[in-house]
Amino acid sequence: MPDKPVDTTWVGTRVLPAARRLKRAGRQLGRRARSAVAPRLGSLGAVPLNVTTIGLTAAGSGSGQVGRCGVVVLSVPKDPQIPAQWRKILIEAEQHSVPTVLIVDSVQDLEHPLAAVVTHLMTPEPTMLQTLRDFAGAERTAVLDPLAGKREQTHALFALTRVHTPVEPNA
Amino acid sequence: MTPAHRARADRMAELAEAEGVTWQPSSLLPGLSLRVTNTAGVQRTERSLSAAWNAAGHLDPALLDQAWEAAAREADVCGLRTYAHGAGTVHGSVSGCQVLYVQVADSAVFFSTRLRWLAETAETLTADWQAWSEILAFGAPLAGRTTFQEIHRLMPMEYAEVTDSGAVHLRQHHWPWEDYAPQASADLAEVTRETVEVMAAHMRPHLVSTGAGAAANPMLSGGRDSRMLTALAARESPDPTQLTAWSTSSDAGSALEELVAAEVAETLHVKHRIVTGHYRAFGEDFADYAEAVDYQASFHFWLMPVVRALRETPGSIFDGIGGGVLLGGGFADPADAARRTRRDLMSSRIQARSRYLTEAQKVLQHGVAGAVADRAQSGAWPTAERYADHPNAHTLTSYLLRTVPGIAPAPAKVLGGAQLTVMPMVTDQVAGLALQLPHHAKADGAWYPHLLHAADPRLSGMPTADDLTGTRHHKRRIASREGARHLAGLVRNGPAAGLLSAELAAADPATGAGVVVWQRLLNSQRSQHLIRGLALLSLWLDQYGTMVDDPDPRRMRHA
Repeated sequence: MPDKPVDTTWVGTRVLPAARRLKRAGRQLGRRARSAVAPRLGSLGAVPLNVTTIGLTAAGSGSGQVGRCGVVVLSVPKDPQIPAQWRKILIEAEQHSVPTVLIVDSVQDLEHPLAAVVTHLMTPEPTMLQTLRDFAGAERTAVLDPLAGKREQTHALFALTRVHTPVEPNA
Repeated sequence: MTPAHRARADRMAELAEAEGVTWQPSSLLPGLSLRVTNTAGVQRTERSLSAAWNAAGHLDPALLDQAWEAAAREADVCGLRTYAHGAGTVHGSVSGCQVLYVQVADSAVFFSTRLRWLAETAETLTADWQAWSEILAFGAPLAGRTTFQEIHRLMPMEYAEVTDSGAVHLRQHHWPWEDYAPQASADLAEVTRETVEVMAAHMRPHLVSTGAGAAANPMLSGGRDSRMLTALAARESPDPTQLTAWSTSSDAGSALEELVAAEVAETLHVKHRIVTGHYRAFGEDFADYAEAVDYQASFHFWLMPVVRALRETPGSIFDGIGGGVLLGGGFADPADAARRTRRDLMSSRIQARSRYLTEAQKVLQHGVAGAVADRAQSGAWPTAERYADHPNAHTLTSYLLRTVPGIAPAPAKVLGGAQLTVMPMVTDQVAGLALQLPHHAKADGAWYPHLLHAADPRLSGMPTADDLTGTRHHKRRIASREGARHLAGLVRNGPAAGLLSAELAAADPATGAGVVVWQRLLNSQRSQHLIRGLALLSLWLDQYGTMVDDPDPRRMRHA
């Protein structure tokens, strides 16, 4: 059972959290600026996007690629476990605070362990949206129009992942 | 025992049966019947009955040949020794992690592993606002207090005794962990080997002789304790393919725990399952956890989805409770401890465990925040003072302020409600070995590389989730709109609303701006802890508000 000692010094309780928040904010700002000028999308698996993505498992895709991506998009693999190579990329994405978006086609996709570890989920099927929201909440889920152009799809991916706690529209 | 006492015991048994408890055939003495489940060990002689139980089950029958103090120490069991003339003893375990509640009545002691069965059959119930202040400050009531003044949880080696004359006492036998002190001469390699082998020996019977065959369920997070137990389970199992390591999200804003656990499981060739909570079920998970721990702790509500899966998965569960405090050396005094006064050190040990209160003004009304802080300090002071001069002062103080009251209900009651649950790191032998190592050998996790290598060399050098965590960018389920609206609704619509800070009282979660106020506070560990405590209080008042005297939580203000 997790029962971790926590740093209770002034540095541990005030300085380090503030530094981490600053670091995260800095990364978010950098990613936002970069995504406005030259958005970079990484991918794991065959993602059904009209946008060009960087295949992160492709030969020659070296270390450091993940940190330069604005978003990593994934599809559910055939393997019922998370493939080892994907896991290492997901760990790298976690370390660099890069959002990870799983494209979900069916309810069965939500049973894959990937659904438990990504930051966001999108579906091309509007009728699936409520199922996704029940699973991961309104702030982490959205529809991704499969017929939209690459600019719109890129915008949809960044719009979903950009803000941590957005104010709810029309509440 | 009077006829009224017997009638109450029967009502308690009926409540247990209504929750699905099934009894073994009764053990009878003249004037005495004992109903037990199949996980308890029982021994009957002509004039006496003895019983012992813990969350792990599979007890050696010879255990009951010993005095209760020896049995409690050897197997970390709670138990009962009673005689035909009505005298007897109900005792707690050496670790205190096995949960047992007692209510002392005139010439009788009522006891139960489930607080509800005592509460619902009690003649009178009085809310304990000191206990609720401690739930807010520490996560659970201290020193055996419960949310009812009439009911007590047995702490390490505590016992309730009915004497031949009918007098009733609640006392503590000497706690052997107080005798363990750091030894400069301890051989690190030998202590490491022995510690690992003691844990393995403790786990072995649960891997070979269970009704589930070789199936077993180690809990596997991204940390060190759980991977050590998973490695030992794989090493000791006659068929490691029957093991399943289980991971869930502790809702800490990162998926590294699950991802690193998957790496460890693959390294050890152990099947791995990740189960996380659905957002729609947040309220159900929170309420089910509160119920499972009898509203006595507010920490691990996120366990419920994996607990439901474990109910359908036969095999003992292995849990690493106690590792951080006993093996990890993380609960230690600051580096400048030698320059501090005794009183300052005692205060710092208490404040380290009640650190959530630094954000109290954001969540609680000004007067309430101050009163809770005062009550927290006064409630913890006797424990801090008792061990102030002990060579393991901070470790024992932390263990009694946090591990026993707040953490133990999760493995002992919540996981233990799904399958038999083994806690190898809080056995007397492991505690004895760990507490005899000098502090520097354990400081900041210094002992772990040795322990992990001894458990399985493949674990050497593998990073933990904490080693890899940079920033926590995931949305926490509790800080989602769904989670925030649920908790805000619980607190604002009940009597606990009167304790809220002006900012939270004004933040209507139905509005976009209002729910964000709750979400931001829930996204921070300290304020989240306080809101969880208020929500737990609201659920408790829903359940018991009409049964307790004076259920107004504003009484907490009167420290």
